[in-house]
Amino acid sequence: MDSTTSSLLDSWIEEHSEAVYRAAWLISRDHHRAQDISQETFIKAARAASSLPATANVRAWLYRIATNTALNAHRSKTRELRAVSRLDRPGEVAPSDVETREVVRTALDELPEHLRAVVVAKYWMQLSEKQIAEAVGIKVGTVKSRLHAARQMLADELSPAMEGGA
Amino acid sequence: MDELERLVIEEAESVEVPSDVKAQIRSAVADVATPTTEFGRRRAARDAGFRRGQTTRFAALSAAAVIVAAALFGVGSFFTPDPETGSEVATDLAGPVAPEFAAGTTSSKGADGGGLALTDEAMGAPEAADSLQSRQSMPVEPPIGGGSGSVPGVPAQVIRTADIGVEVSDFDDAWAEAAAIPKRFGGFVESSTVSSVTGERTSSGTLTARVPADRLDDAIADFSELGEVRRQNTSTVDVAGELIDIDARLRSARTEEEALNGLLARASGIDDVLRVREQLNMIRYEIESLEGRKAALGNQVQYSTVSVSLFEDESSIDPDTDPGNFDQALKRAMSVALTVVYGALMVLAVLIPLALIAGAIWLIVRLFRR
Repeated sequence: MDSTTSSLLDSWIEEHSEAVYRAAWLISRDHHRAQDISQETFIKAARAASSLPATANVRAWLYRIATNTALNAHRSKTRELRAVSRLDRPGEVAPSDVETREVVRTALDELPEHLRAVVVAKYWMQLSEKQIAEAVGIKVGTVKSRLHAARQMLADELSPAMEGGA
Repeated sequence: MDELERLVIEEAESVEVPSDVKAQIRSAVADVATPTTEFGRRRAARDAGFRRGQTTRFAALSAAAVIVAAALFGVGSFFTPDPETGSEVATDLAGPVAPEFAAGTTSSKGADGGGLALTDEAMGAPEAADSLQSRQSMPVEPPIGGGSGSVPGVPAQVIRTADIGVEVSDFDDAWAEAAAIPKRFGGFVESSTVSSVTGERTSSGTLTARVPADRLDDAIADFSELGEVRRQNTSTVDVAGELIDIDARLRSARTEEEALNGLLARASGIDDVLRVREQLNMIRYEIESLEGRKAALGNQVQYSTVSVSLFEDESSIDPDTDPGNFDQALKRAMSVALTVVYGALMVLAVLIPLALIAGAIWLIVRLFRR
């Protein structure tokens, strides 16, 4: 790795690593996995840095890599992770009795991971539907239908919180 | 802003980001960027070792192939007329070796009455072979004494080695007894080789044993009782100085490793991480190498190495009076005779049809002339 690439990577890490970690955490719901995903994202970026056009949107490019990495990493462990996250959850508590954030967290938890990934990519990483389609490897139409389904499910779960927050 | 978007962003911003995330990522990226990490270097070394191993194996296989081809050619050309005879003799050559050592036995005759045939086990222990050579060139010394590495005021760390040659009346019995001696003193047989003089009888062998240093004299005494001691060398080397040197270098290397670890934790760029890692890898490699050397020396101090050669009195296997040899000579004579007869028959088998054809042509020519 030449010094130009390493200083470029340094600036990317400085600017985007926290956002990537947050996205990875939202998708994986686990600190260690979020760390692995973040590292893997920048390793992939380091490998592909030399072929990245100068005019490319680095933020969108990095977030696409992160979404793809998170989804791939998560896919194999979904069942196990969901079982664990259910165990961690403090029983059945009425949404009105807990903090809004906890409700959001629970609602996101409830989403299947392929829907959660598009929600995070869309609303946190601010990727376009086309960019999400490229990152996840699906059609734009599928992204739209997944987003719609996710919104529907979240709306059902979050309606009290959303009402409270409005 | 969409309500759902606002909630997701809030949720994302509420995620606690560990303070070392950037450092971890830089370190991971640096790992990928440096193929000369410890792991990479070890893998390269292993690959090189494998390649060396392959080369050695290839050379050994080639040599073995040449020997086998030569042997087959020799046996084949000699015993072609009667394959049965050939196989009989071949069986004879391989037959009488003690079963547990048959694999590594050859029948070459060496200067001391029996050629040494290195078994796979012995070939796998070059250290043992080296130490044997160095022992043989060493002068006889008293069991305890100041070696070249002795340090005044420091307890001696002595590596003791012994070499003993014993002439025995019955090799097989003595060999079995010798193999049991190391275990009696809490030691073990590291490698062993046997060889034969006549091709029929196992008559000499060498075993390298490791016994606890404080039981070496007892073990030598027991080996001596197997027969007539013809050769005995004992040597000692004090490695206290070398061990002190290793300890000092280890302390210094560990201090440096600690300092480099501190630097690595504070490194702010991938280039810095790479530079520190390179230094760190070198120092860790040195530490491992020093620890390995220290452990090896410690083992040699704790366990003495004793090399025992056993050989039979050659007069007890006089070839002229050996009935096995007479049988073999008779078989060889028979097979030579059979070879001659077979060769003659082969020549006749070719000549008779030719003679018949020539006769027929001659008769026809004569008939036409008339």
